[in-house]
Amino acid sequence: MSGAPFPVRPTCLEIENFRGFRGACSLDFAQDLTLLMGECKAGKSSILTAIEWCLLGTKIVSSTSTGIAERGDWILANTEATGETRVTLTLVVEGGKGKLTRTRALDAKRNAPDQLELTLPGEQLLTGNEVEEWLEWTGMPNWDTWKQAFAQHQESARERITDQADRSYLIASMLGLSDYRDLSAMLKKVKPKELEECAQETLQHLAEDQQRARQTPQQEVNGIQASLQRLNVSATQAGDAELELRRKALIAEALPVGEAVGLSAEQLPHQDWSASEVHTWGAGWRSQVNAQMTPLRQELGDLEGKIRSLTSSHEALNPKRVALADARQQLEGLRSKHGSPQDLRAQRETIAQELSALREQRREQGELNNLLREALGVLKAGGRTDQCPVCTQDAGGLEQRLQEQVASGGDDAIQDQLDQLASRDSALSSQLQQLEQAQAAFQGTEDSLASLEKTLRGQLPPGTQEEAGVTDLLAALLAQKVRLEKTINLADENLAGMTGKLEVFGLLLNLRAARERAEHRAGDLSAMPQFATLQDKIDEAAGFACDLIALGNMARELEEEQSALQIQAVNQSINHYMSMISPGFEKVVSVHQKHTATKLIYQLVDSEGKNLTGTLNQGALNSLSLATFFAGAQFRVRQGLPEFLVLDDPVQSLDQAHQEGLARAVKEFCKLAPVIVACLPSHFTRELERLKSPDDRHCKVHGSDPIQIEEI
Amino acid sequence: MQHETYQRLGEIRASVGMEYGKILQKILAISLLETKVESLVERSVQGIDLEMVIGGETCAFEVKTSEGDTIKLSRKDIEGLDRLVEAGNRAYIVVLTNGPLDDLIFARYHPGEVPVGKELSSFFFRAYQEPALQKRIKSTFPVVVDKHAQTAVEGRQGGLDKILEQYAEWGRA
Amino acid sequence: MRVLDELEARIRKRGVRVEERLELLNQLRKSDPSEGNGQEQLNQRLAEFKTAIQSAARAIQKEIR
Repeated sequence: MSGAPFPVRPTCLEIENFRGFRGACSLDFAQDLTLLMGECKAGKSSILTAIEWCLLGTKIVSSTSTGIAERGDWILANTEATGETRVTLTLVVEGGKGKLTRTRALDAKRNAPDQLELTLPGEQLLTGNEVEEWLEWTGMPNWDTWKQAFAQHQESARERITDQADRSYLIASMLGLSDYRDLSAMLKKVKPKELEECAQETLQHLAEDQQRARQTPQQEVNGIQASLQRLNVSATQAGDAELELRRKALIAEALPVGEAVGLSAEQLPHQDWSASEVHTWGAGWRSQVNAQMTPLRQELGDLEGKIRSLTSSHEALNPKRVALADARQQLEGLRSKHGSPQDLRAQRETIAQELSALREQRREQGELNNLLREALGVLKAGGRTDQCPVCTQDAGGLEQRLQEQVASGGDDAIQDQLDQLASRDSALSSQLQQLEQAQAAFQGTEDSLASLEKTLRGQLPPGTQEEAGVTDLLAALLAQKVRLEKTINLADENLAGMTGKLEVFGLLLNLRAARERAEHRAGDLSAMPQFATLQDKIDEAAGFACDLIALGNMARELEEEQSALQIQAVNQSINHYMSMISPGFEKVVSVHQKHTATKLIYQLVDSEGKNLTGTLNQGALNSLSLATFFAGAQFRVRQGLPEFLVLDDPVQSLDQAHQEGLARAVKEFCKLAPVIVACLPSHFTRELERLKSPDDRHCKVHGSDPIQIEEI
Repeated sequence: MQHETYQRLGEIRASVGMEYGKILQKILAISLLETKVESLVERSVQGIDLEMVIGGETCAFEVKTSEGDTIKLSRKDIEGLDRLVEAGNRAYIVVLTNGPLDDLIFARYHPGEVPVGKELSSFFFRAYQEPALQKRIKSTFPVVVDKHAQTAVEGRQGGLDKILEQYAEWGRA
Repeated sequence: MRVLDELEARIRKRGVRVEERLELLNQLRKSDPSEGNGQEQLNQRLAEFKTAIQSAARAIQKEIR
């Protein structure tokens, strides 16, 4: 198959279960004019719609795609059909005939795809997307082109000239500017402005970054100076001289402290250290000193304890000695008075024995008295008080004697003895207790003194005299204590001041560094090799943007020039058909191109330049639309593209004269490409019948069930 | 552009206000004279501010400065430049916008490439830069700005004219 | 396509950035504008330029931040 355009055209239509057509029906098209006449609802329009559906698919029933509102409600399948919907269009193609078949299942959902098949000469079979690609490749129309240059729809008879976009598209097609318009449209969709914005934004951000890089060091300097100011170091003071002064002072203050607390030479600062080194050393100074101070404080504590102990021991000695003498004296006094404790214990032993004997005696006496009482009782009970109840001998005055015996028991004497002995024992016990207590007190004091003396001796150097030793030792201990306290105080004072001094020192050091950074500010971007690279990239992008803009402008210039060349031919064609369809039309129609900021648009104007579409009546508008329709189709034919016209009831608002004119125009166009017309019987159809040629085919469509098509 | 040069130009602009365009033109002229041209003439016609001869070839410059980031060429500017090109001259638009990283651009003028009356940023002109001219002035311009900034501020155009008159190659039409 | 041939002639006639513009045109020739491929390719190139600018800028920012 060659790459050149081929005027594909239909020769036969087979319809099955499509809209008003229940069952199958076929129609052969004439080479020139096929006229389909019939009353309303006969099915004429359905035949034309079947051609549309076969070529373009279900988009023909979308109000959005078609721009025809009522199509949104259309149902393609015949409502009483029991099988699938199928339309086959036989086409004359390069190399012979092809059959394009579109099928839709009976219960297919609205959005379900159709089955599409194309059989080409040589039994080549294409399906689905392959068919769509073939249709596009051969120049068969899409919906827009169909509407502009193939089909005259009842519902939108005039839109091709009243709608600005439709009109411009049609005229641009006539002018052969589709490619120019497509190129311009494509170039417009690429936005070179984005490159400009990207470059500008990038440079803006870099400028801000540079600004910040310059400002930040100075802000840092200002911040440190403010901190120093709060510590009473003014900005003028805060220089290298002050830093040096403080460096030396820190070292000078630290050295005696370090030596005093026993730090090693390695731990002490050196006079020749830099400020940074001193600062680093300073960070660890406190912990080093504190580490040395801990044992020193411990030592001081111990020392103070020793001093306290020595002093208290020494001070407690004499009173203790005095107390011992007193205790001795008291003990000796008691001994001399009462005798020794052993004597007293012996006496008490004797008394205890005597007490025991007396108690035995008293017990015996008690038993005897009980017997006597018992005997008295028996005697009294026996009634004979002068007779012995045992041996029954007469004993005169027995009762009285017994009573006297009982009364004089001897208890009192024994008791008196007992009391005397008890009293004596108690006195002895008290004396013994006193002696023992005095003994214990003396012993305790003696032990306590011995302990004090031992403690004191332990604190003194061996062989030293007590008094002198204590004095010397105390003096030495006190001197040591003073030295320790001095060292500790020195260190404490140093540490207390060091924090603040180190803070200032650190700030001065930071200030010096910040000033250096501020002096060596962020370098010029323009000196950086990376900036040169960026500039190169922006230059390249600018070149690309410039070329895009230039190409777009050139494409538009070419479109203008091409359109200027072709407009004359288009004007001629439109006026030719207009004069045929509307012989009384006095105005001359011209295509006028108008520039907007982004595109060319086209208007139809009269010889005075006035817009025609705003001033014509309905009939004239329909006539002009048809004239433009024919003119557009004629240009496609000239380019060798597929072309055939489909007119559905084109006589709206046309009177008889116009209908005759239309008939003539149709007949003239037939010589270029086939025309299929569906129409109610009218003056137009009668005129076509009058002008009928052998290559025409006139048919009557009967709206019966099933629909019948009869050639007349 | 070097930061210091940008700052200097900013100081000049702040001092001289409306005269900035003319003053920059003179600074540019001095910078070009420093590159040893054969002749440099200041003109006051539409489409041409400076005319330079170098290597026997005439180059015309239309100098455009802006406080913002775009410049505009009027119909008269374009027509003037078109005439120059028709006469066989090389025409340039010298663009200096005010961004801190914007540089002086010597853009070759070609008829049909520049839209009339439209705000155009320096980005647009980059595609037409002439590297040889850019390089020529790159070394002298910052030095001249630095050297004569004070004169520009204090002496304004008159002060800079006195400096220009010191160059034998300088002329005024 | 005839329009591309005419555009080429115009580019040569104007004589500005001829090489670069002809290269752009050749890119358009290789794809069919009505299919939108050319637009995709141009947009891709545009995106590449943006990326290159942003990448070069990042190298500078790394240095000065």
